[in-house]
Amino acid sequence: MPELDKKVQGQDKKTSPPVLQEKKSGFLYVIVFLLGIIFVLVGAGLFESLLGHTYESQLQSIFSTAMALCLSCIGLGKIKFGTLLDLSIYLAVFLAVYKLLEVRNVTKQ
Amino acid sequence: MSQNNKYLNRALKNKVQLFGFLFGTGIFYFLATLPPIILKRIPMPWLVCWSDPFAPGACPAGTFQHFFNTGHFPFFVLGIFLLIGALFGRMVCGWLCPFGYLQDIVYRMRSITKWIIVTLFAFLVVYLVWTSPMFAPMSLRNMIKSKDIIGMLAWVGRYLGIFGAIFVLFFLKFKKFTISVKLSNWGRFFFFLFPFLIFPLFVVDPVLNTGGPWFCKVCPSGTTFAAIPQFLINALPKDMFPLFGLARNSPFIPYGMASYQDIRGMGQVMFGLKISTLILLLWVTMLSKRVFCKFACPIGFIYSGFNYFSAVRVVVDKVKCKGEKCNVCWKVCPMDIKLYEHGATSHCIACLECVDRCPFKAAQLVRPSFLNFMFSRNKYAIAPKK
Repeated sequence: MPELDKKVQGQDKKTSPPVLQEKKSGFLYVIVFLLGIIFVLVGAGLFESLLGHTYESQLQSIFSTAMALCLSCIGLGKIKFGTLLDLSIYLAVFLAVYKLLEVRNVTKQ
Repeated sequence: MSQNNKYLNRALKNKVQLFGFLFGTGIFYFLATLPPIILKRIPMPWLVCWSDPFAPGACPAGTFQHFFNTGHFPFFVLGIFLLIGALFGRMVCGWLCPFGYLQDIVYRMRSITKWIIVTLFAFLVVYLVWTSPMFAPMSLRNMIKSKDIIGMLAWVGRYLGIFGAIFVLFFLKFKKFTISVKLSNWGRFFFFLFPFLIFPLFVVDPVLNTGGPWFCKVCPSGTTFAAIPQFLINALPKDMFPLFGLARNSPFIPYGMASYQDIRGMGQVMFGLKISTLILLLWVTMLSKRVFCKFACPIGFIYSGFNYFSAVRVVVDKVKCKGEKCNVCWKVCPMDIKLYEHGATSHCIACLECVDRCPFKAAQLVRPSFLNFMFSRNKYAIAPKK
């Protein structure tokens, strides 16, 4: 791509800001992975005798809930319009703040 | 070099995605129910509805909300997220999520998808006529008899509204667009914070009388893989059970079929809202890639945090990258990421399109050596281990 290379040589520094160059996996993922194993074991209730009744197995609870029909998922039952209205108001406020911040950023530039 | 070899990661990804779609939507359901596997007690690491009659596992988003409702910390599902996220970051979204695959398909097959969505619209209208007194023809007949002019106008107005929406969506031409990273950050933060995190803790569901799974009420994945199949199953005559000659209590029959109950009458306004949301989302997905993943998915939001340190991730070689003048990464990226601006960012789903197609081999894949077996070690820009 010689043409592209020529174009790129002409571009100023602002168009190529710093990007990630890290090429190693690092070690943080190992720590998080080990933390994940601990969480899974606690969730599976393996430490129940050690930590007490609060840390019993969550698997049965997940199983029994998963085997029931979730009314919300399939759109059955009643809906509380007040809550939907709240949700849409929050979304509108969020987007309004986003728009304001965006305008502010553009003005700064 | 043959064309097949050229985009090696893409070809592999398509196969894995298809497998993820089939598995996630239940083609291997019979395997999942065989003891001692019983995957239903394990949340899947991707968005799958637990009311999906064929889903092999539990929904992670639903599990999260369930434990918030009951006042327990969701150790198990969070542990699964940590395990998957630490190794692969948000790669699950790009390679295994069934709803992500559906969005990819919808975007790729835009012209065909249009007619699928029209069919869904027809399904909605038929459903409304079928169940709701607001739309039923009988009520119009009554209105004509009683000369209720305002009621008649309102009735006609409802249909004009629905068909007007179809007209606007499908017969006017809209341009393709991209959602800015900043807007999508706000959107996914909002959907994570309110319907997923705060509402299940503090807002009481009128049906359940506890904190409800509020995100599920708007979740389009639930509509696609649970609501529509459940309604279709329930529309079948009862005589058709047991299905395919299997006993009603057979473990091979999904629970939705085994516990037959007529749910059609229970679907009212909320069902209509869910179907409408799904149709709107599919329509937007025809114009912009993976809108739900970018803007609303709470599972993707959780995985996003892992992208900065996960074992497998995409990085950019600054020396090789030619920046904005090249822009190939942005054109091929399903998440519309400009790699040359801020690197792969939290939005990256590691689909490896950029790794395959970057003409300067600037986009590279980092992975620990023990995961070498999962990725092709050819010349396609897999970053060397240091």
